[in-house]
Amino acid sequence: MGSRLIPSNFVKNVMQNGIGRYICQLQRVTIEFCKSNGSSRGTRDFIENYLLDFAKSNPGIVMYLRPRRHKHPHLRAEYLNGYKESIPVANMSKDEVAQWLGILRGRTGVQIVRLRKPWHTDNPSIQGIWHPFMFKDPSINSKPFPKKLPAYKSDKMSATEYVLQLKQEQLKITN
Amino acid sequence: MAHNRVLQWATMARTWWLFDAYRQCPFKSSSKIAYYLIGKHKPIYDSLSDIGDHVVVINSKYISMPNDYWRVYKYFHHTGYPGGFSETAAWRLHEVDPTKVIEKAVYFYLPKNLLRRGRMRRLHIFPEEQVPTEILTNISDQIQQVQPVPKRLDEYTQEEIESFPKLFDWPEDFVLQSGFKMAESLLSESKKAETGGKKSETGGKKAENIQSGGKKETPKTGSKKAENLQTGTKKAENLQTGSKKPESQTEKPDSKKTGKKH
Amino acid sequence: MATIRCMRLMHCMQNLLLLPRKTVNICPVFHRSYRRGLRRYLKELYQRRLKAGPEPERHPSQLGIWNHDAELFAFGKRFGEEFDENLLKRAFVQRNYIIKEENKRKELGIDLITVPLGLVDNEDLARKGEEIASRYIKAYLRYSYPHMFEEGICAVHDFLMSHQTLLHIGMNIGLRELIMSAEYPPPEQAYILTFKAVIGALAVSQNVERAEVFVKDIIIPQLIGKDINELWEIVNPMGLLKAMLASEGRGPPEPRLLWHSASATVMSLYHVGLYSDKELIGKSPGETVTIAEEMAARNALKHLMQTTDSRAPLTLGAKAVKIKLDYDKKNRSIRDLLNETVEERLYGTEI
Repeated sequence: MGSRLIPSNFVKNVMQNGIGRYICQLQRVTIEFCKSNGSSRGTRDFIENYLLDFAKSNPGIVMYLRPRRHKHPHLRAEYLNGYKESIPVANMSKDEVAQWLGILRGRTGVQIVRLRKPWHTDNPSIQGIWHPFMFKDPSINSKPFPKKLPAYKSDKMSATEYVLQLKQEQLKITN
Repeated sequence: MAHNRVLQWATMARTWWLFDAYRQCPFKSSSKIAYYLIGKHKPIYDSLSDIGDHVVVINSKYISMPNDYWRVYKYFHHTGYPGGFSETAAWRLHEVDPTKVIEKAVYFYLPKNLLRRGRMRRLHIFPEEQVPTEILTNISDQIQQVQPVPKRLDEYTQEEIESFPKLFDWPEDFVLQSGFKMAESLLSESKKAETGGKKSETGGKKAENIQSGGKKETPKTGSKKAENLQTGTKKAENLQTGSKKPESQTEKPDSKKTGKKH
Repeated sequence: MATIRCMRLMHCMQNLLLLPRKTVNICPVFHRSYRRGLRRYLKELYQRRLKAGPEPERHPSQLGIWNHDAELFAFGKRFGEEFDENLLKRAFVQRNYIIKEENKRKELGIDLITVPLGLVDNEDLARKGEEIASRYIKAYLRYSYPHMFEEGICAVHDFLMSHQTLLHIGMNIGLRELIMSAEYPPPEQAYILTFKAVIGALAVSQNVERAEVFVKDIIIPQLIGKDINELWEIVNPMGLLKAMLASEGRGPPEPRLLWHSASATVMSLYHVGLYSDKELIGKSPGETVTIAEEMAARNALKHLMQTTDSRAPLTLGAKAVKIKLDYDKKNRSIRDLLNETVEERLYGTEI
């Protein structure tokens, strides 16, 4: 199994959410639980204690309760773009259920896949992306090739130059 | 769409560079040429991106090897069959094909991977300055040379030779090594030619001596060395007439034809 | 395999034993293998199911989990806006839904005059919403790009109010289940009408300013990541540039080749710069000289209209609360520009 086989995608912001105003992408949550089963105990506690506060603080999310006999509890979430997610919350405590609900609330309807890049930008460059002639003067075109370039100059002094320099110093001294 | 298309075209474009190999060291040049062939001069470089440029090398015939590499540097080949080993000296190869020395230097310098052949296809070498028009129109910029163009003795004016400070002089009774016997006799000849002693106007001779030990000579044996030195003086004499045209650095092994220099 | 067959057989026998006695005993018939045709049978069933097509999507109300009022309430609260309930309900009603309901009642024999449907469709609200959105978007664009031509502003506005953009917004806002349409899922036009009607409903419930803020927060961010110059098609950029420079009294644009590479190959590259009075006004690369020249003209136009890639981003969010828009002001039009230059040519620059 490699990253090429697992689906991957780039970071996407659904409909530029947050730039104008933030719209919670979670549309509705259906809490399926059993009224008597042990696995739904945490869910039942959550419904009794935390559900109303959650619903009041998130008026944009519609909460449905669906009791189902002899079935494990689930949180079924639907998002604005039509994506559906289901989380089994069997044998979880009320705090855990609350946590999962918080995760669902914070998500968008984009499928969770490996992110190729953790960032996205529409303006990758301000000064412009490099091209081969960016820092070249147009005058290189004015004369045909091959051209006589200025002679190669190295940082280190050559032996000939050193000798000439000595001669000049000598002349200076004598003068 | 069109805007982004042309910007991408400009960024990923392949430029054509010109490199004048006149009297340049092939090994130093190869490192620079390979740098451009690989595409490392670009900030968008990536090893597998095929981002290298074209390089057109001219004057490959006038390439100059360091020290006595013309004689000493050998190219090896084995046909694969027993007894199929052969070695060719650089000067021989250069005689046969004046583009091969620089070509091989670049080839051996490039990283030894599958991209090497493709990069070599983007290297265009010409022995002289004549380049086909199609290729010349492609060129967009020129690569700076890797060493200052050295001057041959015959390219120095007499005034320059005379004005250059003399560092030392051989004592009169100093016996040079057997290989330089002829030099000594030459010395005496030149002394005879001029009025003064050793210290006058022999700067040139010294320069000649110093330079004869340098890059340009390819003596095969002692006797040939002698012949070469003789031709050297003839060269000096010839150049008094003032032929400034640049000529081939290499001295051919059949320099028994002493008159032939150009 | 034999052992598995035996186990299944045993299981089958046990089930048979559990059956009440009055049923017909269906004994497995033992030919070579009593399940010989099962694979073929199941395959045939599968193919028939595929041929029949997928199950039609049903509205959640038909599945039993649906509270329309709660959903409407949540819809309003999601945006942080206060909607009038009735107006919001009206915004979702499509005309074809009303027609369908009326036909149903007619078939049932219910008299529509004595028992009216009581539903009004959303077309009025949609018209109102479209007006508000259109007016605001144009004013906002004129404010953001004061030097852009009116034709360009209109082109960008048309993009923002286009079928595609509004459909994309409508589908990601959660209208699907709320729309009351003849068919489910609703057609594309229903999304667009409903979205416009929502804007209208907000304007009527509260005021036009709130609706405009809504438009600014939802529709205008769709411009992010788009090149506004690409949205507007200029047929003759060089001609327009010449007219612009002439109207400003500057020299005509002169193209010059800046750099070129690989001219004799297929992968040729040319950089052309346009100069007016020996000053660079625009440059661009291109595959051929003609392309590069045209793109340079477009680049020069961008510089003159101040809509280059390096322009400032749109004012949105908290920063945009304080901006004041002039709804009556219009940007310079190309037609006026051309008329100007023609008049100048005909009558001189004294006019």
